Amino acid sequence: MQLERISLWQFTLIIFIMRAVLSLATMPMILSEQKGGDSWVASILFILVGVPIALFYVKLAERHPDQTIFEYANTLLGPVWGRLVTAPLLWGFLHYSSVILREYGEATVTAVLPQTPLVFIMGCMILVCAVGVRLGIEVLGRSAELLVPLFAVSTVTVILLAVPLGELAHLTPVGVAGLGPIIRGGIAPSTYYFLFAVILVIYPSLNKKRFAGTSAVLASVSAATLVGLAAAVAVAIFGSEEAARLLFPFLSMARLVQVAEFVERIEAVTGIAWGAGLFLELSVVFYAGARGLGLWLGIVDHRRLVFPMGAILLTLSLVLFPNAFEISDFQTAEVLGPYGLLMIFGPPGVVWIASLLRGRSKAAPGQNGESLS
Amino acid sequence: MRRRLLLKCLFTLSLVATAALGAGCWDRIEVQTLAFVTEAGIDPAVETEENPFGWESVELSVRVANTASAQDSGTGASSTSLGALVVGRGVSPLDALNDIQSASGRIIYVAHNRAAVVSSQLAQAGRMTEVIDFFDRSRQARRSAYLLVADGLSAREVISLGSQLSDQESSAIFELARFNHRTRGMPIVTINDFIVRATQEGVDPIAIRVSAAPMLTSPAESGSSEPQGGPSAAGGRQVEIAGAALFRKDVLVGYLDEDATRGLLWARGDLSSGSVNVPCPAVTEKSFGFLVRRSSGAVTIETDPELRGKVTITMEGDFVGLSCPGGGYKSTSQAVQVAQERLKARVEESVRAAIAKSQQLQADPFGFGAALMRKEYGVWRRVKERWYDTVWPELPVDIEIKVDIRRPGLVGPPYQVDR
Repeated sequence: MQLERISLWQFTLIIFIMRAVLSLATMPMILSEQKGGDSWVASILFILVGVPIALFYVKLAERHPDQTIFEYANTLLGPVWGRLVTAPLLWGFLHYSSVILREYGEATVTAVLPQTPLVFIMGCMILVCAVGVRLGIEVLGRSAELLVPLFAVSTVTVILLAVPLGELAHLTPVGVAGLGPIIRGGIAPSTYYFLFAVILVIYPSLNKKRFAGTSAVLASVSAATLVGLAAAVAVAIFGSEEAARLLFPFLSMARLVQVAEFVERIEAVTGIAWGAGLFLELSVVFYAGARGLGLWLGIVDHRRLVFPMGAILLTLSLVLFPNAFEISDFQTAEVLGPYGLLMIFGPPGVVWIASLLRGRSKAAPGQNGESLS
Repeated sequence: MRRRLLLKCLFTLSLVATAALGAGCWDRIEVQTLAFVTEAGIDPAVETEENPFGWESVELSVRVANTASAQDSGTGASSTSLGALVVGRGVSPLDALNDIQSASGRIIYVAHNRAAVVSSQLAQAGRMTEVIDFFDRSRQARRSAYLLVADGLSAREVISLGSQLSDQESSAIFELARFNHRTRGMPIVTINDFIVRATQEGVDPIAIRVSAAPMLTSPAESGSSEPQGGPSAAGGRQVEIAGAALFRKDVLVGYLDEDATRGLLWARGDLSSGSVNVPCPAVTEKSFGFLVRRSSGAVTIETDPELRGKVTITMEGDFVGLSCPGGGYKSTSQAVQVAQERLKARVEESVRAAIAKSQQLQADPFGFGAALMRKEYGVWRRVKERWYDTVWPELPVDIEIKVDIRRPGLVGPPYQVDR
């Protein structure tokens, strides 16, 4: 099996979408418990947090450029400890993707298709993703080239059309309740930076590795800026109190847009953007999970795992939360904060230390060898 | 290889079969099964039906668009051109909607509702949450619908009277509010605006005030077009937009007349149009008219040495009526200077009226409180508790107005005759 290749641009787009899709899902987290302008300050904080996390993953990957973390963890720590340390990563990929899948499903059921069973909506999405994962990262990379511009253009369009509805005054005062709420507002959405851990799996496929760090940082910053911008516009329109009450501020924003009594009801655009973006995000995380599990179990062709994993993902997504209220409960700083922190830094951190102690692996001499054997 | 091909064929076939044989899906709604609600009015129910819990009931009146008559529009205005008015009763607006549904063979569909009229009794009783919740929780209803308060008549009457001058198929109230905003400077308030202002600290919401007025045409004259008015066109009444309903948080406390409403909207910067009549310089019984083309306003507050509000308005526009007798106005720049001064005084009067009325009603639609909160949070926190009781009602407000009269219209001075 020839190792697949993605370009730096595709890599950048993938990292971008990992974060940007959540502009539609994690905005309520940024907006909750915020007074006045605190929410957009929280989003700036949240932009900054992404940079070290992205760099953390890229630098680790750079130390072992031709292997995924599931391989070099075994080399560095031995087959048993290596597997023990990387197992949480596999769980993370599975868990985070079920949460984002569920959010998409909930939003669709709430706002668009109330009679349609949740399992059907999420099942359709996961089926498409599974097909994408089976086709491999190269195909996903090319899908990114197609879908990310679609996503970005429609999201930015909605934001721009919504800007005139806002009032700048709603963005002040800032910081009257102290630093606490601002930081709290930044924590929960920041834990989703865990999804950047896919870098540890897709990095070996990157054809030009030189600027990987720069592009990951750029992608992270631009995606977080998009999220922050969306949050700021939502606060400008609804005011902080009302924005915190909305479950899908981005959707509500789109529903309000009326341009010259001509462009109206553009929420379908957000639905399409969300669907396209989520497909890509979910596929890449799913790919990382399937690839990782394959390596972890020593199965040569990870594609056999895709459909069973999809079934597990779908089931997990359904049973994780009995109702939409528990999703909001889950996404608070108290719950998601420690968990996310552990997931982001825990397993890769251990591997980092091991890598520092045992030294970096040498770049494969000249050829792009089969990494699975 | 052959097996793969077979699988591919099977997959394609199954897709084709699904598309061809599938009769629909869970959320399929055929458009002809819908009854489109275009306006909704909510009143407290007059006679409350017995319910074991003693819940208060509401009455929901909706105008359902007549999609049938739209199809054969060639036949001219039929007796149902405005659509049907349907009334239902229930313990909540949703319950009342179900009541309406009980007698309808089509799905009562509120996604295209464009105006919500609330009875002043409900608004005064602080029952706005019931109304608002109906419009913001459901995925169907839109927060961009206009919010009106019916003053002196029931919401049901407002919906039923509609506008006799509107031949709009179905959204007479919506059009009434919209064009009143554009030409007369009446407010436009959506449900979203109401929620945003009600939930914000230091600012109170308003709603569009709609009230009854004698009919423009005599009943005899309107007899020919009688059917347009629907079930209760009799009585020689019609509805009109008459200023703003003033809330303190979500409780209706009073009304602003049209003049004061324009003052409020100019001050807030929510109005860029409107016309003003100003007394002529020589003969004050006569007036000249000015049409505002652009206007911006801002509400600020000073904290040093004492709390002092400030309203800044910048407007520009054209003469629209210059019928001052005796050659009172020549359209020279000097004469325009005088006109501008008078205009300023007139606009200031409107703003003063709005401020006085709001202070008297202890409601703050200008958002002086919010301005203070944004400027000096500490001061705001100290005065917050007594803002409505003592601070706002006694707040001195400076008004600064800049007016530019740009153009005289198509002619210069009014024509002159030698007598």
